[in-house]
Amino acid sequence: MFIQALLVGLVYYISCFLYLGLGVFHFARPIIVGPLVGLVLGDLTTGVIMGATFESVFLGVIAVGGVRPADETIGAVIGTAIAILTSADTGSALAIAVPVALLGSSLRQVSKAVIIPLFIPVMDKAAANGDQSALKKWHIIAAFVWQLLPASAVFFAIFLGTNSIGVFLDNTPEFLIRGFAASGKMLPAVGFALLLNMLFDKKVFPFFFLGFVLFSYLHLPSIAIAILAVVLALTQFYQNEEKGSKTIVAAESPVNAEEEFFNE
Amino acid sequence: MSKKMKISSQETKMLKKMFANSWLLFSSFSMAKFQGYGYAQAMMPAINEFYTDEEEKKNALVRASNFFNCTYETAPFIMGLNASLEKTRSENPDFDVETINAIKTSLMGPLSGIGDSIFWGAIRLIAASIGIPLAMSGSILGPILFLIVYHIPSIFTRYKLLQVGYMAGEQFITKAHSSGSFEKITYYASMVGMIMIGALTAQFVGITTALQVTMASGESLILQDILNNIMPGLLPLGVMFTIFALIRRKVKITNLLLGVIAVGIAGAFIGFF
Repeated sequence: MFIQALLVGLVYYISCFLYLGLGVFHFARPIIVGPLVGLVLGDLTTGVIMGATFESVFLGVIAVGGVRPADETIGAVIGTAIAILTSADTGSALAIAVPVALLGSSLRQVSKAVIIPLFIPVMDKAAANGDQSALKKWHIIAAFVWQLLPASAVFFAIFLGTNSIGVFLDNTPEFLIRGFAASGKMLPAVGFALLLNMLFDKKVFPFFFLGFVLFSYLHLPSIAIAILAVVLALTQFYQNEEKGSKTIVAAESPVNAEEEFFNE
Repeated sequence: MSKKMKISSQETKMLKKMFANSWLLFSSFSMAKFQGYGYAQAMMPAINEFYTDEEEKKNALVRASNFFNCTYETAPFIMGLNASLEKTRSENPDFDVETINAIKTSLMGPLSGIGDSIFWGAIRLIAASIGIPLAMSGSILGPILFLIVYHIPSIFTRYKLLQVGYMAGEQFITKAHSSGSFEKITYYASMVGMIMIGALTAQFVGITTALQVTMASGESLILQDILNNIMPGLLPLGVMFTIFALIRRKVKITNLLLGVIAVGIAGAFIGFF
């Protein structure tokens, strides 16, 4: 289990480093780390499927003002690893991943609220001295340090926890497994409700039901729905702009500013 | 803003360096400075390009290292804009540096609003809704497409906005602000986002009930069938809006996530799920 735990910890470390440190932004999403965990544990297909499952659960759980309510990466990495190592079903893997993601977010909190702020005096001094290479050096070192704490937590969780979790899951009553599966099917709603709240505006709210009906009644593929959505937004945009330009005659109208913003 | 500013090849080189450094925006993210030092990395090529005086260089670096927090995709616009202001400052010592700080702080908010609604609200959801179903069926194309569909517009936008910002100058931004362009872009992006959230709710919130009632006549009444006849996806919709109402009431996300698990287990125990 030592080697597996080390590899899974490394997957977490590297994907978070790519995401935060090098700005490959979505490298730490469940849909990516799931397959990577699958790859290192020798079961790519399960990894891909678990990654997609966790992605749908955590799709809406995003940072608001730098505060992330859950660390979806740690949840997905540990959930996928447990699913592969103990052959747990999706419902059980979810029931592990969600609490882990919630606990994990406090580890990240320690990184960004305690550990990284320790770098600030040094970095501010470098800036005041105009020492660009020092400022760059500490900036990069911070990126390496950032993931150390949660990554070691991943290692220890897999190394020490897998067997006991496996035993626990084997002896779980049937209704509990059914309950986990049911909550797995409800959890994506939390993320979507968060997104709805972020974009909420009563003028656009009715479009939620358009999207809902396009799938629930018509079963259109997502790409078709996405294209319809963009077409609708564009036509509405042009219609409203036309109405607007009739009332504004000035040469430097806002319409021009808008168009140039897109054309540049 | 209507007349296009010429960018010299020297400046193009500088913008390329700024773009390369802008990848590092999040590297030393902390709750105290947020992306402050990341922003400074992106500004270094501009500072070196325009200032010769060492004291001015230091001041510019300190200025750039202050608090900064903006959506990854739209932040380069501010970097470009402030690079052009640093240029103005280097040519005209009377130019008030407070303008540079003010641009930074006043634009972070609106540009994050636009960036979040376009990239986190719309494009990410489109990428996910293409990638997830493929990945659910076990195809490795799912995650790959997810990355490609998101990152191609993301990288293109970051590169383009850096240039646009640099060419625009401060005039542009006052105009865009007063004409309400920010609100408009956010509005149409939210529209796309709304449709996608609706579709994703129907697709991924797959909760059904197992409840059956055996009638006196002996035939059993399956609750799920009745619900389906009223409207497919009624239960997911109900779950979604219950949670939404709770979020509106400021219930903590952690409690919501744990609450959903508790409801799932309790529901399974009484035979509802």
